Amino acid sequence: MAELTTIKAEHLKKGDTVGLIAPASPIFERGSIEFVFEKLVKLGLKYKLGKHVFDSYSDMAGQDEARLEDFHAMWSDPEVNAIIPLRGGHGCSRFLPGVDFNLIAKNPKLIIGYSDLTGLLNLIYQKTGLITLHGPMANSFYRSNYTEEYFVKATMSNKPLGMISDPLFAGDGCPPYPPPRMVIAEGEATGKLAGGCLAIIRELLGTPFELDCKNKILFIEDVNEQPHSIDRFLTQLLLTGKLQQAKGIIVGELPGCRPGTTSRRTFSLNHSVEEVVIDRLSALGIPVIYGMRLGHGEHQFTLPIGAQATLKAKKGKVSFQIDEAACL
Amino acid sequence: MNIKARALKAGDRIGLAAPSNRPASAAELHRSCKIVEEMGFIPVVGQNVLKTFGPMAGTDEERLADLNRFFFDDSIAGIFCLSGGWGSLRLLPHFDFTQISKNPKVIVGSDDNCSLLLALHKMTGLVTFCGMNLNQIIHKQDFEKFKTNLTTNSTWTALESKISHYPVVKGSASGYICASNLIALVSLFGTPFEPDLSEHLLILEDIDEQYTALDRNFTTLYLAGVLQKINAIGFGHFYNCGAKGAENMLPVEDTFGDQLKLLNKKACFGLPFGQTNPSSIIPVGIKGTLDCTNGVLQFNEPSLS
Repeated sequence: MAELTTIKAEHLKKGDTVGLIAPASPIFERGSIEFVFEKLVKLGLKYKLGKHVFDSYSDMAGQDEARLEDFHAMWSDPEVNAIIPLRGGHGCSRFLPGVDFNLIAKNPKLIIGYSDLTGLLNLIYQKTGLITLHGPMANSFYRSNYTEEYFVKATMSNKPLGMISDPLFAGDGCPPYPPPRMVIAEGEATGKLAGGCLAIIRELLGTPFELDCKNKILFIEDVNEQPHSIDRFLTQLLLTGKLQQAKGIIVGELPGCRPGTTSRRTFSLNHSVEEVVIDRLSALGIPVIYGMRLGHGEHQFTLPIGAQATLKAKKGKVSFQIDEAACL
Repeated sequence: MNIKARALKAGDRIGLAAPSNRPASAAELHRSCKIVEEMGFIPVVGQNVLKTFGPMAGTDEERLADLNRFFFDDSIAGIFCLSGGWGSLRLLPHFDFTQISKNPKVIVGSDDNCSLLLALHKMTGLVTFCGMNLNQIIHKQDFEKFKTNLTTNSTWTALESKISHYPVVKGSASGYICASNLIALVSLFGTPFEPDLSEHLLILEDIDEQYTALDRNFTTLYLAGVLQKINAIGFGHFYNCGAKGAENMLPVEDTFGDQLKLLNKKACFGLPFGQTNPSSIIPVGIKGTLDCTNGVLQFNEPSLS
């Protein structure tokens, strides 16, 4: 297959309009949306709300058709410059067979999200070549200064994000676990970025919507999964041969993945999640690091899916640089 | 083109293995041995079952060594899994399936071990048995069914849910049976061990999971085209599954049911199968008929030779 031609959307400027939708789970308390409006206005942005954001069907914001209708409406609306989901949760994968990728290719716009959006964002890039952003959503871009700074840099500028720095951990001497750049395997790699939430990457395995990892710098993250579930996800990915195709792997912080800390199924004996990461990923012959703040934690930097990046992992010296601009 | 193992008989030596988690305790292991003895068999405990590697019963090599010893020892007539959990998927690339197909024997398990059972069937044609791990046999009724089913080479009596069943899309269909834990099945997707489920009867269960996680796995079946190409689907117990802290969550009877209604796929809930009483053993790889209107899974051929 011929190499995809990369498409980039225009970066957001003051006065631009953001389309807010709920393609997965809804905002549970309507009041929390007020913070979102306030924060967007502070950035000089206008907003438009999808018709179905307050619909409800199980843990989703309405039936698949309703959520997909809002999603398509934002791509066709010429007034909308960027699409920002209110939150993730559960539901995007369910409507993937109905997504109109031609509509997206004809109307390239910024779209940013993570977690449940993982399948959708990677698929948009794989099908259209449009660079999408893996980063915080409307209810979370302001959850820390670090998160907001990277969100603004990624969406409101057309410069490459360059060398990624870690958040400054405030406090009195006891930094939060894990260390952000633990080297699992040394090496250097350059490639286009792909990845996101492991549970979603895994959900799409064996379907026409699965993640293309070939020659990619793969980033993976998850939240509130027990170590044995992370082991399951990584083992399945290994059995599909996908991890072996990647050029490098960045494992995010994995908050809430300590044993016993969830309402999910727990065992009395456990590996730590980093033992799982070491066991499954250290012998692939590619650089692997663990701990960067790129997912469900308080701090999250934004990564452009489809843009070129360079990972250099040497014990005591790790650098991760995004070489290519995400938008025009 | 399935291969059937010989039906078990009193005095047979049975290998007790732990392809995934370590049994919860030595006491639980002792109890499992007693159950096997009471069925009239001689339990042979795998050498490594009480070792630990995270939650698992020893490293991959250790769990594999126990299983291989049982597969290739002619004095062992069958293999019963002691416990579920996690780990059987890790072993799959390391089996010699050709050799295993030359030594067909009964293998029974549930939960995570379904990954192993489905892969074994796919790679060898051996009819494997999705039912109970030994630590789940608590009620006399389940014990009797386990013993009766595995010691006969005639066709098993049908599974009937009687009053607890709920038909989603009525009707009846026939095909090869695939029974599994939902997450253990989906863990095979995209791998060389993924089963071909065209025109099958798919029977699923799960335990201790949040409805969202279950819906993700069910969504994989939809996105992969599996729900579209099977002949019918039946659900057993979803024991201790639920919202688990989420704000809004419909049960699987609604979310799975709505999807199946859209696809107009024959489906029913409430089959006596899964990880709580009353349970049953369901063979993977024989022909059957699922009557979704009445909640009956009928077996159309013997499971054992």
